[in-house]
Amino acid sequence: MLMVKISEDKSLKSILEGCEKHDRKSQRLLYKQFFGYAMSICIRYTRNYSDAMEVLNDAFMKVFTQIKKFDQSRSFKSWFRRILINSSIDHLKKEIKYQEQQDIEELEVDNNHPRADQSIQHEELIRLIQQLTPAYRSVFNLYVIDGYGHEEIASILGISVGTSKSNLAKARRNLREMLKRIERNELARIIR
Amino acid sequence: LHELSDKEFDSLFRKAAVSVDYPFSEKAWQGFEKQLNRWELFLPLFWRIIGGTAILLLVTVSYLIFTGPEMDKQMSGTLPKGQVEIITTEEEGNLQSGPEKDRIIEEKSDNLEKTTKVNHESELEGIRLSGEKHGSVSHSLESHEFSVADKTESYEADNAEYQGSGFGRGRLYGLGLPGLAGVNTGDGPALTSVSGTDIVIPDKDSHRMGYSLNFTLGPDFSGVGANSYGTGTYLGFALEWYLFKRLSVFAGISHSRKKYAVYDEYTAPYPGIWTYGQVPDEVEIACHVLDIPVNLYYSIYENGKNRIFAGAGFSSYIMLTEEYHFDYYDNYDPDLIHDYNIKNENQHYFGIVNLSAGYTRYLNEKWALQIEPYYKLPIQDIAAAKVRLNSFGAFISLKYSIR
Repeated sequence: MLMVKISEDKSLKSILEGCEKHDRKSQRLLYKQFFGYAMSICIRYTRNYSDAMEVLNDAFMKVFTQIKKFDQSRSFKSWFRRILINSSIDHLKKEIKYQEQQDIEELEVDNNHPRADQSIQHEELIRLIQQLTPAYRSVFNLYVIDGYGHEEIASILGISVGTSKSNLAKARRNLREMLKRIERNELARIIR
Repeated sequence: LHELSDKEFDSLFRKAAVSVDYPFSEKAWQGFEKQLNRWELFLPLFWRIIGGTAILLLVTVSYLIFTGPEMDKQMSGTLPKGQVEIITTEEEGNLQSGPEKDRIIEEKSDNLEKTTKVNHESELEGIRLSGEKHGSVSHSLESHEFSVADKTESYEADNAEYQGSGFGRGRLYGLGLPGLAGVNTGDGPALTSVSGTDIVIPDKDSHRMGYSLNFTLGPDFSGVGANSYGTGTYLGFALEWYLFKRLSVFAGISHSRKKYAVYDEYTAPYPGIWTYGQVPDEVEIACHVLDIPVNLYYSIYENGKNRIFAGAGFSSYIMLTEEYHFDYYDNYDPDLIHDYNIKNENQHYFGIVNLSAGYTRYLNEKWALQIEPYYKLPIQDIAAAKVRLNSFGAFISLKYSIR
């Protein structure tokens, strides 16, 4: 197991060295290796796959253009994660600017996908996060999934700590409301 | 699920976030590779432009450094004690301007040195001048300093301040001292001096102080990244206020017509606007923009009627109209949206950095012509399409000085 880890690290190191030299094959390998990881972060912060792709590509572009700034003694994954989250937040800020916050009643839940049983699929939960308004989505992701504190979130998003807490509570409430609706719809479907 | 505690609820989503797998997509890489190719294409071009500009600046500065002192050495000096005066003119006709009368008796001149023999018989506002002078005059174009080689006969004058008419205005500070000297006007600076005391250098560049109104037009080339740049127009006016001799602040308003086209990832701007599930292959965009620039200009080089300057500042874009036309290659679905037009929906305050450099030619005291190549670099996403819209071109301006 240890051997595999060392081999992976060595492989990543050579890929990163290739990326520094703008070697297209190395860039492709890095893109391929971290695509799933990057998408798992970007998809939560955006409304759909297309937006997530845009953010993911922005983040990879930053990696390839700023790879020389990366300290090889540190974890690439952590560095990349920070870039991904920053790119996602940049995208969210734009979205917040242009999109009016919707009230929970106005939220449209895609009833075709989620199922209202305990085995609700993970992808479906992610889809629910995507349906949150940008302000709630950003705080929910940063706090619940990415492990940031309210003070950090306030600083990142340029809001107060109180707003961060309040947005988190509202995000949870909205998600519960969406789940309740799904359960109701599913029940109705079963009764029919 | 909705009845779980907050902790359980969060944990559920956390688990979901790390469990979902997104397989690598070759198509995604191909799209990204295009983006990467464009960047790698654009980057050398960008550095070439920066490099070229830097070399040009270096050559200009070097020229000024190496030629400046030589000129000064030849032309400048100080007025020897006990001597007075002097005035230079380019031609006799200019001597006749203003209320004074200076008759040239004899004049020999080359480019830099002039011997003037004049007969003053004039009564200016509060200044009485009479006598004859004869001096060899050197004139520094750079420092506006003069020297007198030969002894000049003295003049008499009363305390007064004189401002002559004509392009080269000057001031004479008559201190009531014997041996006070003279004045003149013409297409060049007028110099007065006081025997053994001060030399008062007139402001040769007085037309560059105060304010100027600028009327500007020019072509505008706009585009996004390495996508198609289109040709538009730029028309505006502005007020330029000289804070110092070399530094001015510039504010104005202009109308700009911008046309460009975008492809690939630029065709899918922010959600809910116009993608509607189908991403166009190409979008042609035309917009009317109010551009409100606030810039600072610095004169790098000034000599007589010429000025070379550089400017930087910010512009605000008020998007008056935005017209989008979507092209879908090989997709003839009649339900596809092909046009999307909006008005007055987007404003970008101080969202664009202005960079420019140019040349001004002063035609006379009031009017000047100016050419100013510019580059407008966005620091915000512009318009409904949310694109980093670059613009470049050249302003051609007519300037009118107000003091």
